[in-house]
Amino acid sequence: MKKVLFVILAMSATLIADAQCRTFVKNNCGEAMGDYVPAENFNAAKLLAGDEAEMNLTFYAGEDYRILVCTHDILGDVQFKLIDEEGETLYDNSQNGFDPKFDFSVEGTRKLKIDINVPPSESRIRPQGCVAIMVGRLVDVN
Amino acid sequence: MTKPALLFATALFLISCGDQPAADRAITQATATDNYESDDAENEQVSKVREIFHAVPSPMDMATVIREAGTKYEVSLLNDVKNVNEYSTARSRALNLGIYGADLSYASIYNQNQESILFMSCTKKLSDNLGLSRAFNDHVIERMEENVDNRDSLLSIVSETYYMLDAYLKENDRDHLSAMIIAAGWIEGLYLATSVTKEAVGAHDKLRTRIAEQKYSLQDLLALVNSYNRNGELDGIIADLEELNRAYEEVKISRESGSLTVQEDGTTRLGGKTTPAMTDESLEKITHIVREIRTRYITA
Repeated sequence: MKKVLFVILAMSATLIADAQCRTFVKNNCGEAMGDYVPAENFNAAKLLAGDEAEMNLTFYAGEDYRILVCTHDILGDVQFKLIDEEGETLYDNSQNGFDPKFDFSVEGTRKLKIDINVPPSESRIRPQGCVAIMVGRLVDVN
Repeated sequence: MTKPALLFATALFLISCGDQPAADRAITQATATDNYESDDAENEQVSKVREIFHAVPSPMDMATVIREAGTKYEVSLLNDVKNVNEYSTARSRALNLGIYGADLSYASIYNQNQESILFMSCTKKLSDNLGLSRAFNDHVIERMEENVDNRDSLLSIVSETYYMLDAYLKENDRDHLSAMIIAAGWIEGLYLATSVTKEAVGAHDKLRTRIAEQKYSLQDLLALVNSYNRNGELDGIIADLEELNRAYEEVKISRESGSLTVQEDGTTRLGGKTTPAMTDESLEKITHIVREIRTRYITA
């Protein structure tokens, strides 16, 4: 009986954990996008302290963008960088108080990479939390 | 900590790590409990994951450029809402979920709000048929009807709906359906843009430029679709996109160097102008291929 209960609890925890990022984003990230309409791609995952992530995307000339790297507080100050095709860092939020958002536009359409680093944990237990990359655009059509 | 509690905590940790959504990874094993007793940093085995995400711009982006080009709203270009009843396979339903999504964005951008509600209804029907009712907010149609005169609210509802649908698919190991929806939505956006270039008057150059710049987005899309093609279900779509990619090889995009400047509103501008070069023949070829692909996708 104890073994059955153990299995049921473990499976329930799995289902809860799987739903967390979607729910986390819905409850915590939308407001920070402000007037920027997010693209419809869901890019989020549960990462551990010390993990990394990246996303490649094309940004179009003449558009106003917001990148939001929405993360669970348990992960601490998550760094993200915007890197160009030559590997040069165009923006690093660690130079801006680890601000999770960055508003920008591009003069010419280009492919850029958003590179994310979750800070390592100082303890042996590595915290785990959701990291979501949201990219929104100001829609202004009369 | 008692032994059962320790076993439970360990199982919970290992199971939650093992069921993470599929994506490209450098290393998949996280072992926080390894070497629990050891203080030796050299023996500590802390593996690191590098999650790789893929994304393409929203069909709403293309719809915006189409509108700015001064073209009239052309309902005859869109997938007939009556076709929704013809789609009986998971593939056709997923593809047309993407296509109707792009049509929904197009209708919304043009303030065709009643038609937007019709397209959202098609989206909901296809979602239900795919067993995705849980991903769809039951009240989304009511919310659209309540906001029928507010274009900005409608756009937010559309964006949020497709975002949460995509989230549900990815977190429930149905990311191949997500790839189909995204790919078909992108195809529809390109089809609409190439269909109206001759009628564009206001910002014709911008529309033509945006079509040329899809060269970049197509590369992102191919990376996305390939990453989710675990069992070959996306082979056909990949073949279609690669045919289009070959046509885009003739399109060249040059870029000037530039610098970063902070604007008065506090936003940053990344300098460096780009200039795409696309001949009329290339545009014609791309138009023909995307139309042919799209026709197959909407035909049940």
